[in-house]
Amino acid sequence: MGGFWSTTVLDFFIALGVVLGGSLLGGIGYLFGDEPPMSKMVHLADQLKIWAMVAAIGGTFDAIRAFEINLLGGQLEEVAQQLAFIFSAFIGAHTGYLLIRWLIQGDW
Amino acid sequence: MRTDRLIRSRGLIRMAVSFFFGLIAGMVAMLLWTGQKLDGLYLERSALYYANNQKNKEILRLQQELDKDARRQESSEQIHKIQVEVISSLRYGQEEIKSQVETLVDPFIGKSVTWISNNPDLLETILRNRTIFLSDDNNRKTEIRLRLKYIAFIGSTLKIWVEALEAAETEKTAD
Repeated sequence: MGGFWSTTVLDFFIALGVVLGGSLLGGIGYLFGDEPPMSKMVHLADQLKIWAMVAAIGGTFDAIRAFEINLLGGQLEEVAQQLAFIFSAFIGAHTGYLLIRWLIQGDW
Repeated sequence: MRTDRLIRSRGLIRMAVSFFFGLIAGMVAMLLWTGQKLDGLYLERSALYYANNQKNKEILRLQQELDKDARRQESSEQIHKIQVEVISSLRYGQEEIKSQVETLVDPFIGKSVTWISNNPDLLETILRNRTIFLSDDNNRKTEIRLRLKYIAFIGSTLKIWVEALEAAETEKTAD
């Protein structure tokens, strides 16, 4: 169970890091590209959310494959774990997006 | 010796990477510090671009309207028709005099009204003491002397009054 929690937390932080890092460095890129950096960063964070989840759970194909094998094999506990990882990654990515949005727009 | 160099080079690499990370951290900090102001300036710039484009479009439209008006004015200020009135005591031949005078002043068609009204001498010079001949059915020629009496502009029509006198009559008048 220790492995489950550490993986869940890791997925959360990986997704969070992808969104935060991607948006902040992307903002610098926009600055060099003569575009308004802050408003573009919010869009970038939104677009990065899905890729952050994919990066956190280690590629969609593997996750779906594991999901299918466990489901067909009747190992519902493993299926629930996979779902928890995906959910954790989603929460991480969404937290990153919300942090960027709050930082830039200053509203909840 | 080699180990020392390796350690030193590793240290250098670490320093370079740390410097690079510091650079990125600095850039991010600066971005967060000045980002809002930059966004505001970008917004202002795009608003100014838009306003400038609108002004340019308006200027172009006004320019086109001015050109159109100028062209219209130019065409309305040209002489399109010359109407000749003959002042003469002659009973017959007035139509022929009119037609001959019309031929004489024909080059003025298409010329500017302003130009002719500023230089009426031109018309007078053409018609002053101009002699034309009228021929009757018996092939007898009558000598007619012309003199410009008045000119008037009615829109794009130039109206001229020409006095036509028989040569003999003219001599009498001269005496």
